[in-house]
Amino acid sequence: MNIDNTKAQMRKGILELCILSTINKKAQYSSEILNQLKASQLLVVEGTLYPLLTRLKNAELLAYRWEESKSGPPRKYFTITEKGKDTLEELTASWKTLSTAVEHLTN
Amino acid sequence: MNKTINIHLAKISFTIEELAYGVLKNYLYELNRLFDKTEGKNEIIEDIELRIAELFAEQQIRPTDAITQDDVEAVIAILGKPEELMLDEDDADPQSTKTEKHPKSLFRDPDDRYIGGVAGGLGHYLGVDSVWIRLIMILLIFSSVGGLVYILLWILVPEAKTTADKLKMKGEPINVSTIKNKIKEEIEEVGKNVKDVDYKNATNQLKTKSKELSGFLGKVFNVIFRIIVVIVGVFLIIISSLILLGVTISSLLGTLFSTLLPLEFIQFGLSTELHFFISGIAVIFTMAIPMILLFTLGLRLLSKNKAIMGKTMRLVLVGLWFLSILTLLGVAFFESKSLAITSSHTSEKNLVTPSKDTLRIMMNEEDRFENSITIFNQKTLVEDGEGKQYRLGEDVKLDLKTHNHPEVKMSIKKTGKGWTQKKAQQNAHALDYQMDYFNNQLLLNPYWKSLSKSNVIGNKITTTLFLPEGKYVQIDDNVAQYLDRGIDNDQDYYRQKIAGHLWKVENNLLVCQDCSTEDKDGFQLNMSSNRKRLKINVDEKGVNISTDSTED
Repeated sequence: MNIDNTKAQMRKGILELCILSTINKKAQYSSEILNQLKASQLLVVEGTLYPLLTRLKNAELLAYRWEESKSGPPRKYFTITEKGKDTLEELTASWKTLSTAVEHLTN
Repeated sequence: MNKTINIHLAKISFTIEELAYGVLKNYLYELNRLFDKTEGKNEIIEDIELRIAELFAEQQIRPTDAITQDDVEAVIAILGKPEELMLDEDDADPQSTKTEKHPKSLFRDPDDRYIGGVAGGLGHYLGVDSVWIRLIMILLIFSSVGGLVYILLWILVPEAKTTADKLKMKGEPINVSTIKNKIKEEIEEVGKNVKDVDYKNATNQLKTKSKELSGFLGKVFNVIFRIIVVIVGVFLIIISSLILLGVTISSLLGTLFSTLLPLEFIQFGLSTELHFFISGIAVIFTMAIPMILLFTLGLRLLSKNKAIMGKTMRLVLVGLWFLSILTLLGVAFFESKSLAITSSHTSEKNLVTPSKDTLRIMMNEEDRFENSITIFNQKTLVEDGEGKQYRLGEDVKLDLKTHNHPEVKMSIKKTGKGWTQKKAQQNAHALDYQMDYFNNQLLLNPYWKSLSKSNVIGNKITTTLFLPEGKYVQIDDNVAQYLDRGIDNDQDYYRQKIAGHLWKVENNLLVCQDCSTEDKDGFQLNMSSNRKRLKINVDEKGVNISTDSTED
């Protein structure tokens, strides 16, 4: 049994939910999302985020637009789509059920 | 002093030290490989480059400062090393990265071995548990080929010595993180890794299967199904390998046979050596290829690996098979064509015989050849005392006719077949037919000889004796099977029955002189239709009516 593997799996499942919910609050560019996730210690390394963002975008849960930046390269601003909102709702509901269940079982 | 270079990253220009550039380039290259199988790879890499540019821009105090190796390493630490990212990617899509996309190489497995690790290595390569391979090996050893195959593989297949080799052997991707894992694994459980991989595969498969068939009943059916699949697979492998073995042995024997003997000895009626050779190969292919396909099908049923034989390989084999069939059809076509044209050549001679004497016809039964080769109970090739080789043919016929000429005439008709008029003529002329005539005795040979190397089929000799009125002819018993049909005689005897009697030509008809029912003073009426014969005999004893069937 690989404990690192399990942890990574758990994180990854939750990550998509967290990304969707941060973007749902307001449109953000990648680095902003990164900072939030890192602050809440959901992300260890930034590289993990990009495949996820691409996957969510390809699944049409997210959309993005380019915006120029004064200090650096242009930024990708991510917005949530209608489909993304539906998915977020569904994921949130199932997260709540899960966390209650886990809470209940582990205590 | 460090050399610096200018690079563009996400359309922003940076000055970077050469060493740092090397590290960055290598990092991006590794990421490229890491996300190789991930959907949207280019976009991911672009995003990461964008982020690197952003981080560089943040870190750079003055735009003129060159980026150092430390800067690059700091950025890599933030974004994550390939190994750290790998963990997530691997789990995201374990099947595409592990089992399918990375081609396996054949190695001998030093960790899973009884003798040389050949079975273990083959097991990894084919994706089958090595137990199956050992079982087949043991079966093959009984047929003595297995030992040879094993030794050959032992010599030819390299041993998986390095960790990279072992990963290649199992078809796992080779990169920092898998090698790290592999080494860890080896330290932890030396020798057990084989089973682990198989276990992993098995559980993966069980997972997908049980999704399809849910519940306990589904699982039971699943297990039964699996058992049936394994039984069918083993059956297919055994049957096909036995047949393959047979084909191999017989073709080896065939080659041996044809090298010991001159090829023309065993043409089995094919007109040219090339046809014999081509059709031999085509026959082997037509038999072996379906067996090879069945064999791999059997392996596939036993194995968890879906790609035992590449699609191209399969297509090539199927193509070869059709080609072989077409070749056989082609050879058959040309063979039939090689008999298409018939040519004959007739020569005549007079036999000097006093008209009152009886002409005796016999077959020469002496075998005057020192060496002969007999195939299918037929002499096909002989050697005379001088070491000259001839083809032999036994298609010899004797016909008896009457004519209004005082002498006995004999004609010999040589018939040859061939592809072209010229070839047929050549074949006809090449026939050498001998007979002896001495002291009223005609000694015919029951065979013809030919020096021609091609075509023995369809060549024949027809000798016709033209007998004058009043001539006596004694036909010996041994001529029986060579008599042609349609020899007119007063007994209405047919072919073989004519032999063994003395005949006289009367009114252009052969009249039997020693047949038992003959009676000159009576009245005889013969009627025959098809095979039935009605005979009415009227003489001093009364009327005798008899029926019998003629034999052919």
